Amino acid sequence: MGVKKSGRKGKKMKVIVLEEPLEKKVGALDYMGFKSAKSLKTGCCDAKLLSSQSRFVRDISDSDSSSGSCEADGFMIGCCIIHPL
Amino acid sequence: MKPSIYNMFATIPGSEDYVFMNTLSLCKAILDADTKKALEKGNFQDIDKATLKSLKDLGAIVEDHVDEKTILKVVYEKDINDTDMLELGVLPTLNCNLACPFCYRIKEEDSKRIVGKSITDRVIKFTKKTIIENECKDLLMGLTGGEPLLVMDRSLRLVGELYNFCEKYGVGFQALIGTNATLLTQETIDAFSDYPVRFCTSLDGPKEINDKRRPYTSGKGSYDDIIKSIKRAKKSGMLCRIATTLDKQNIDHVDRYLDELIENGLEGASIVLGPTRGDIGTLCDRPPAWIRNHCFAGTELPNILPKIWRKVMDKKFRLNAFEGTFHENPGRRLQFIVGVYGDVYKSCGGVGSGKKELCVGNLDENGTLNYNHVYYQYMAYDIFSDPKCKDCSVLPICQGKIDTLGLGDDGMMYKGDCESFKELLAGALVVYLEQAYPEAFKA
Repeated sequence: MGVKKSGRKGKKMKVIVLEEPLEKKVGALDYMGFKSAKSLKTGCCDAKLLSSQSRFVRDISDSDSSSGSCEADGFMIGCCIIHPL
Repeated sequence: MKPSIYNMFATIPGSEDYVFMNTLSLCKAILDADTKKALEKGNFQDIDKATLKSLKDLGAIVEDHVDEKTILKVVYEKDINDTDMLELGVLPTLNCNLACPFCYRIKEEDSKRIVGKSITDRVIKFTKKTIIENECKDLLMGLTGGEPLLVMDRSLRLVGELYNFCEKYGVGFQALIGTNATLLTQETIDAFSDYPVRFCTSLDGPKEINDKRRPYTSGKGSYDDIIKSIKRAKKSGMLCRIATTLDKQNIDHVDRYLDELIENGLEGASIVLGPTRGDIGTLCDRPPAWIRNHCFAGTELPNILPKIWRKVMDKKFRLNAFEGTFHENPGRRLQFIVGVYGDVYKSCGGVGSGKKELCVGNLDENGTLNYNHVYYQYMAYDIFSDPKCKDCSVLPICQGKIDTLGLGDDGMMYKGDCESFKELLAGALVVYLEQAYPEAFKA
């Protein structure tokens, strides 16, 4: 994270970078975990050893708050445990 | 140079600055109003070299010759055709021991179901064949229902047999069981503990409210049993996330709900919040009247949910509002959900809900999936041609919201409201960043 306040002609420009690309020139779809499943190969068979990089761990720890649902027991596939909006 | 077509901005409450995200690169930043204006107008004359470089690194500015739509198209198509992972959902039963008033599953379908064992056989054969034919590297399996632990033999067999198969062929395996947790006994936990399984259970508020919303079929409340099960799973080292359905009945009880979780030793638990959706009629034949009477309008959610997210995160529960807005894509070649008849769907919409028009095929006794025309409709759906999507700045995130495709009363494919989604995404982004980088927001 870095703060840059600069600008020509006396105008202050403010850009505080919070998150940079994880992998440059790779689209958001890659970031969204679709390739990280490969990291499972080293620990996927023990739930207690799940890699923090794996998509599966992301699923349980990070996802889903905004999805719409009529039943929160609802179906889960990937990161979608309840119906999206 | 030109501004990226995938830039999005969100207002920060109480500030003149903006949160910025490029939805293609997922880079995030805080910008002042002048920088935002420059990006919107494509006028970079007043921006110095260092700031320009920052904005280029963020993906906010791209060279004139760069066609971002092409980049997204290539990455997207690579992803949906990727065969590394098979994502398989199974509903081993539609029966349930709870009687939640908002449940849309058609339970009586279960009584007409072809013998359960034969369907389980078909699912196992199909899964093995699909993994071998596609040389999959991972299997992600979800079990739900109905209550999957009501048919423990089927659920355990699906997990055990497919896990052993994956072990034999060096394929990664994970199973997620969506359960109401009332049957999550120590014996059940022990039975699954040999496998990489985790659970997700529902809890809809403090005891008094949950018991009105999630009663047993006898009318008795389920809260105490669910809490015991979550604590039991936690003690056994099994991951168990809590999913909470939100509507007008329980929205005002969130504080007490969270406090009761803490009192029960479940501080820091991972929580999912899902509002009921008013357009559920596009996904099921008989939407319960409860939903119509209690759901929020889509346009209300961007005002309601960020406040609830903040409450949950302020009390130190685990929740990622931002990534929760990401959409699954049923256009993925290897994503299937199998219902109790061996009927197959591409998204959760339709399965077990009587909306058979969304079924994409059936499994035969050899475990072969015989596709029908709906499958091709899903697979041919082109997000880059859809007039609502093709120029949208959040397309890399929502992926065309294909997972919300349902059938309207007119028989046409119908998608959820985009504008509310965009507002919600912006709200989620701000809440997430405020929590992740509090110092930056003080600057």
